[in-house]
Amino acid sequence: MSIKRRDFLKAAVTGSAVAALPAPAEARPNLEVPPNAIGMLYDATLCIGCKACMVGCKEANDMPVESADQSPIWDTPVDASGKTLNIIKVYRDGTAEVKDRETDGFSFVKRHCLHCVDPGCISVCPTTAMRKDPDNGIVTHHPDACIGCRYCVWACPYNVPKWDFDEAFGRINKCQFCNHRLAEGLLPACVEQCPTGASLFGTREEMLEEAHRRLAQEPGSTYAYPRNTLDDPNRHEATVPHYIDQVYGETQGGGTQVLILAGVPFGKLDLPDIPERSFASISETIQSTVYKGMIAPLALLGGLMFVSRRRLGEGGEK
Amino acid sequence: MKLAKTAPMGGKILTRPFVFLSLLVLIALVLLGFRFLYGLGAATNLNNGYPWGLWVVLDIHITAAIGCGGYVLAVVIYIMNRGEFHTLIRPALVASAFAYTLANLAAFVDIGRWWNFYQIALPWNINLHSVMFEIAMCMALYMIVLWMELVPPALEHFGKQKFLKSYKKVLFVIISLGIVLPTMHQSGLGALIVVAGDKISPLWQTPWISFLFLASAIIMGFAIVIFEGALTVLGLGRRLELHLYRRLAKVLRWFLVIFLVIRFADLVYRDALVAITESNARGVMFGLEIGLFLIPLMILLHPRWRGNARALFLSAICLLLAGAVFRFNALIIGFNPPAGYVYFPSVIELLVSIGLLAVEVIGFTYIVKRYPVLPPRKKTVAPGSNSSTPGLATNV
Repeated sequence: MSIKRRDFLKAAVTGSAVAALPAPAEARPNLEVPPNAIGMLYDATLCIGCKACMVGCKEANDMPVESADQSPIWDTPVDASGKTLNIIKVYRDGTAEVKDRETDGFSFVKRHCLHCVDPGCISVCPTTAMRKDPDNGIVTHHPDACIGCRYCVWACPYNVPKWDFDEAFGRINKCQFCNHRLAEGLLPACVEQCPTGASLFGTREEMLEEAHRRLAQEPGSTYAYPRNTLDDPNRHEATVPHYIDQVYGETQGGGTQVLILAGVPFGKLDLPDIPERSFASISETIQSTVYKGMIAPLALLGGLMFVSRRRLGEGGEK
Repeated sequence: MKLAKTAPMGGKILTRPFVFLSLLVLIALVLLGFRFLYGLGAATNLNNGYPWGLWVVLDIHITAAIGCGGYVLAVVIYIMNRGEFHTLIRPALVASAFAYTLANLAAFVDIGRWWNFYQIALPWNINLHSVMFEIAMCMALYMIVLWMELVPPALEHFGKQKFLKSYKKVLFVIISLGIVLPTMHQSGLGALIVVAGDKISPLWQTPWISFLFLASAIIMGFAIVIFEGALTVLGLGRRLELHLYRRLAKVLRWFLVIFLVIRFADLVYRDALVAITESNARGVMFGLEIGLFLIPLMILLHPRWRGNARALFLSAICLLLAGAVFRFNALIIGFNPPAGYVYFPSVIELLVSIGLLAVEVIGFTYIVKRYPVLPPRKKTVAPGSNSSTPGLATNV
């Protein structure tokens, strides 16, 4: 009996325990920012909520009008969806008198894919239908390979990818950073349409510098805000608001390529407070520890074959 | 190791329950037609806040866990060398094979781009980091393995003795795969939630989630063997081999103890118990989950209660529900959707799930009536069986 127990323990402990226990031997660190990472800076304090960016996005990506009352006349989506890749939402509190103030104030926020440095959607996708450009870092979706499991919708910390629930033969939709326009040397549609420079395009590095420059300004002083890109001469002077002293996306979940500045706490704008270590890196650390070279499962299989063969060999004789 | 004798039960197939269950299957089939014609949004209450609902949790996660009877018995019989349980393995394998077939089918029904399903098997699409990839592969493979484990009864049925003999020589490979694969994907089904991070309440988002899913699947595997044993007595008029179920319960209780010790140690260590105040639903559902694990624990730790057929049956039901509620909690109740989204399954989702369950019952009954799966009827009462317990132990 004791020998049999030992056989069982050998097989079970080496294999199944390894397969199930959280034992991160060699942690997979967060992914690095790609060499030529492009970026976008959205400054909620500059946003006037005109939604020109939403119109530009729909046109550039050939997306249909979506309205809450089913009328095809105007576009009134309430959230990003399979038909709306970019949306301006509003936070309001109490009397909503003052812009960019938490109490009795309001703030706009532009929501679309943040193009994570270490994206969860890519980590989870069973068919590699989510991909990140190794050079500019744009996260794209490729429906050809997608089976529609919606794990990306479920797992994205920013709730970005959307399944087209209205369609019988649907697909995942999300902002692709207008990569088809960038290829033609054009700006992302939302940036091109933005009249106030609330959406700014450049490299991630430039955007991060610009964001910190703004945070360093004295509230109440004037600052020449750029439009479209940093080197565009068409700047406009505006009063520097009281910024929340943080660039959203600098470190969140390992960083994002779309960066956000705001005057109200990011949590109020549905931008979650995410730890620096990406959830993808935690999940992949567990996966790669357990399945490193498939050694543990194969060892378990070998042990089991050894034991079960002996057991079956005893068949009938007893 | 002596192989247990088995024989087809015989008897009418077209019984009244069979017709009723077939009707449920028919309804589900019509509704599935609706789902494929008009899409997920039309058939379900799923939305972009809750992209996973009843079908994912009940028809994939829970059905697969309920299908662990064949897995745990294979470990007990072939690895722990307890040949006396061999009379239980064939019915358990039949039930598991149906459960996994349905879980795979449910996955096909639930994926939005079902016409593209083969993409997951294309080598250039493989993402080894994806837990979903691992689960999908393991579950599909294990379904095949389960049916392969059932080839011997079929060969016996058709009298292919020579082929049966050579088939049994490679059976050890199939049996071993039949242990490795569930170990992998049952823990993987838990690992699925790790990447969601803060979107899952700390009550369920734990570094131990893979272990807890695996352990609870094993517990559910034992429970379903006991549950099915009792149902075969009630529904098909078989004798209850109570002494065997008692001994299974003895093994089962250790898994239950380990599961609960780790569940609580982890919750306390991470200071996560305060999360029961996050919402009423979470508090209640967490309480229900733990209660459903604790009641059977008390029954199974008590030697006299453990020997009682009814108490044993009750613990099996509690444990199946406990594992189910645990999975519902980890994937839906504990899930933080973006603001403004709610989910409750649609009538179509419910009826399809019921229909899939009906397929399992019909399929199981048909196979045990036509193929040598159950031990042949005997007049003698097995030693240790509690024949005085009414209802369960009555021999028909």
